Amino acid sequence: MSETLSDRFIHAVRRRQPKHVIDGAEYVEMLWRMIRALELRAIDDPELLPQAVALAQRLDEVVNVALAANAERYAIDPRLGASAAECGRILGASKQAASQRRARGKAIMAARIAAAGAIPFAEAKRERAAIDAAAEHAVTNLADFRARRAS
Amino acid sequence: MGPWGAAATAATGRRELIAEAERYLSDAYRLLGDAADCLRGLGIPDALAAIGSAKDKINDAKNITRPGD
Repeated sequence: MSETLSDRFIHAVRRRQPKHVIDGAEYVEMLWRMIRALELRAIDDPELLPQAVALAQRLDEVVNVALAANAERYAIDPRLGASAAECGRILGASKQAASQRRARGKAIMAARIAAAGAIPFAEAKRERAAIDAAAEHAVTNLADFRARRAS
Repeated sequence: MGPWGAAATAATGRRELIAEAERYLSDAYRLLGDAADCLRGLGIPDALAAIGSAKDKINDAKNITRPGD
């Protein structure tokens, strides 16, 4: 059987097989705590606002990728994943919206597989680039605030 | 609210802060596990041992802060 897009994607972005499996719900609780901490930091430092937006966009990618990977697995064997329509239902999205998310998720996986093949540590570099772009955006657009704060 | 009110509130605040600290310590423990997963098999056992002792220290902190002990 040929390797699927989602298999190649997982292979491209996973560093190592984890020794201990952390419960997904616990992991999400950790992320919520980190986001709460980011919120408090962004109140004190509005330059973090574009970082919060970049993270929100990144989380949207997570939904698209997970939906597309599930749909692909479902197509191979319905026991392996939820269909795009089922994912759409839990998201409260129409069939058409789920289908669009599936297409975007497939495109994201393909792009990141290609990047992983071309650039060493592509994932970390991609994340660094997004963080730097958001930081630069903040510096450029909050110049007046920076000047007020410094005075 | 009687005079015990403020003390009870403070005690609850203390318990909640300790519980919150424990959650952060658990987060740190998990992230150290992720770091160890990256390093495992790369032939740098000292780094894995150091991560292991950091995880032990986190457990020490949790044991010290755990209320009722």
